[in-house]
Amino acid sequence: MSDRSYPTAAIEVGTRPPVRFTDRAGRQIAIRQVTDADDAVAALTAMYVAFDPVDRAQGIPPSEPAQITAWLERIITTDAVNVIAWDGDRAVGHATLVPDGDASELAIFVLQSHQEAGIGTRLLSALLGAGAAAGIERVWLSVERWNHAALALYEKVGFEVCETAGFEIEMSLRLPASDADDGL
Amino acid sequence: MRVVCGVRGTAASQAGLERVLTGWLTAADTATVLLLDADAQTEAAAADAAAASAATVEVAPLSPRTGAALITAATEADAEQIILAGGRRSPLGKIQLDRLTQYVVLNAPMTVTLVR
Repeated sequence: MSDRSYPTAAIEVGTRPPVRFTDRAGRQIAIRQVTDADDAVAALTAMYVAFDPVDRAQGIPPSEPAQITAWLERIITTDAVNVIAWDGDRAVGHATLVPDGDASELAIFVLQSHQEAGIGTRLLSALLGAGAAAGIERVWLSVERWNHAALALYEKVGFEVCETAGFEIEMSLRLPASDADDGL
Repeated sequence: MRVVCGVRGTAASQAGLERVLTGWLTAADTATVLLLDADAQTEAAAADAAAASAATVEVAPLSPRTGAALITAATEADAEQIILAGGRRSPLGKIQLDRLTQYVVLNAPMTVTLVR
């Protein structure tokens, strides 16, 4: 998939995590970048165990707790960028950039109880901010055609459709070159 | 039952490959294993599985290596099912069905089983 095309212009990235805000349901939400992989895997395993199968996408998250943990351990690595939305001590949203050659693949999940409250938009924005700071410039994702809410969210932050031939739509985005101001 | 198995040699499809060759060749009476860009190791695995199976098994390369050719071959073999080892995963773990697999699923007149 190295022939994927990316927009020539970079998007303007938003605020990097940590981000705190009140969601549309009045909950205090904190978005933080993952620094401790073990803690993140534990908190996100709990979140994904509670995840409604209807919101699975192309086989992720897996359905069984052990598979969920194994999947998280593969994507929460030092060269990936992961951010988590917290409602108190409970993980309610997760977004990730996983290395794929000279690009990164993006995915985002928000727990059903916390959807349609503005968390996804902030989480995605925080992830892209963290990704740009980590030196990532090319981001791609795939999304199922019928997932109009996700398509709208991705377009809002600047993703452009780059492949429509298959069952899924592929989208890509370019992040601004990093100043590498955090030493990554 | 007559089946046509499409077998590809990429490392990512090896898990499915094993189940295609052990499971489906045992279940079939007559099978054709079509090799699609299969490497030598996969070709040898297909030959071994064919020899070990009680079914009548033919192993042949598919040319051209397209979904249309696979469906034509399955139709000519009077197959009831096409069995495909398919489903790579993206770096993030999302299942990706390549164009050939998608073409076969959408266009084959017979049942298509994806082994993942």
